[in-house]
Amino acid sequence: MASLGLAPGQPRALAFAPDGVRTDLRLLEVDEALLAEIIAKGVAVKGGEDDEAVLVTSNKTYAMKHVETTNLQLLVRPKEGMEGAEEKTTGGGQRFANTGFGQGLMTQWEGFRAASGAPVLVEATNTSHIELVEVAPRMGPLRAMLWERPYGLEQEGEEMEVDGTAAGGGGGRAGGYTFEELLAAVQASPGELLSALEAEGAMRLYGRWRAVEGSYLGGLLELLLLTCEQEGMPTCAVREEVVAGSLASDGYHPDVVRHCLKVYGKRVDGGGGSGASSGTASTTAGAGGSSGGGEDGAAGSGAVWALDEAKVCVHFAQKLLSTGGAAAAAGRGAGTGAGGTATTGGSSSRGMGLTEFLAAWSRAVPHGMKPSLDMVRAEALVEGSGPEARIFPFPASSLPADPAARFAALFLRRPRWEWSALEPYLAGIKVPGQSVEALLMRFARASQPTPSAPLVYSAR
Amino acid sequence: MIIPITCPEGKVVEWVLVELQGKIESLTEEQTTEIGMLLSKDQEGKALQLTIGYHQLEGKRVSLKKPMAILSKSDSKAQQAGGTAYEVVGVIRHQYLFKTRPRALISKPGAR
Repeated sequence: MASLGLAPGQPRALAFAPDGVRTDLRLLEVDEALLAEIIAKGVAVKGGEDDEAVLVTSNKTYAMKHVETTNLQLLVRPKEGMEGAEEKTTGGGQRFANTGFGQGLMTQWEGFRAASGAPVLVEATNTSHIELVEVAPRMGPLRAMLWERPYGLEQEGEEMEVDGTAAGGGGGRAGGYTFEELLAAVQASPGELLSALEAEGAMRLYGRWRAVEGSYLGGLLELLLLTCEQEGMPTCAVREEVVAGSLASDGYHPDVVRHCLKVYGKRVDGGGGSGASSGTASTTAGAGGSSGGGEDGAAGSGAVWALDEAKVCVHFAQKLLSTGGAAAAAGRGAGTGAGGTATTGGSSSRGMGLTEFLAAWSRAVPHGMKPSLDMVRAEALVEGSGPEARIFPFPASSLPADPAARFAALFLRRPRWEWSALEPYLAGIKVPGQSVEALLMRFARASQPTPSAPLVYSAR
Repeated sequence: MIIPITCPEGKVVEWVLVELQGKIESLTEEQTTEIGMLLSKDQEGKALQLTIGYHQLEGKRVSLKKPMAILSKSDSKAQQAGGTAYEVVGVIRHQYLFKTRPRALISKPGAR
């Protein structure tokens, strides 16, 4: 523990350091964890010219606030031998021991110079410090950058040149951005940036990140599902090698295929898990858990993926909702679009009849998957009830991330929300240090028509 | 723009902060670096007395709620793409705070 090394009755002089006193040191308020990180790895301050500066660690972002004080702060660097000053006392020291009254100025200086031990030296002075407040990272430009040149049909032919840039990139700009370029452009920590990239469904191809065109990815997914069926692989045990190989002949780059698997599923490597024969719906990780894994000759060293039922179903729901039923007629399974699809493909704003949607949906999803309305809680809104119920597309991903803006958008769409409908749309906004309840209280007003009715939220 | 903050030594030296209210002024013409006298009133050095000129201040040692890192700008050596970089030269965990009103030391005629 640092101290000034003062023993009772042993006065020490306080003086400015003879070599000069600095005034350019900055003080930064930290907690022990952050201090440890600065010592171990270092952190960084980021910001463009018009931004407020933020400090980023490996996975957190902090806003920096200047705090001034009218006090004078003297900084003392402890020197060797300060703890436990020397014993030698002089007459001058004795005099001060009695909290002297009546010491003239000259006497004081005398005593000062006679005081024992080395003087306590002030090496710097300061009048302000910087406080850190954890904030949500500012990802503003990220989406724009990812969608600058999304990957789609046209990019299929892109080849990598030896130096790592994609050929065919017009104007010298290869598709996408490297992680470092993105990191320099957004005010976020590397950890937060990585999570955001995953949440946005960005694809890393040739070391560069970019978005993938929705229709392209959706088309790839459906082809992938078809391939699985053809190869007799259940959707919970998709062998990457097999599908990549088969889809390559359709022009799909294997890395893109892997990206599709990542977006719609999870890797469950059971190496030797026999994909073809397992009929259970449980993940392969469990099935392949037998020690060492039975060597399935065909699997080789390929990765195995389990497609997420909810995500796949949501894809088909999105497709249905965006075309308003026209896609249902082209869906898999029974080719006849007969039975309730007499409505002309409604524009998405008119939505679809709920029963009609549900019927088309279950026809569209792959064998063995069961769609449920629960899955589209953050994708669509249901209005009305009974035979009149209609469903409208309303994806959470199209809403702003900033809490104030999101609540405004939500209340614009619907003035009153029940909690069960509202909750999925609040999952994306996170402000460190503020719970969802706090945000609700700030931006919404809760009311209850009768004591037993559910809470309803409306705009403030 | 990215400004790194690092700690090249891998460990930090602990400094001490002495905080006073107001400013220190020198009334004599001679340039001096001396400020005043520090005296500890108790065994552990937690309660202190600081005498500056005719004033005497009482203070005590307190622990800071959150430690402060001391940053120093280092430029010439670290001339990477950006140019500016900060280094941690120390950390402060305790301060000696003198916040009582200074007491004037006036020699009373006839005293002692």
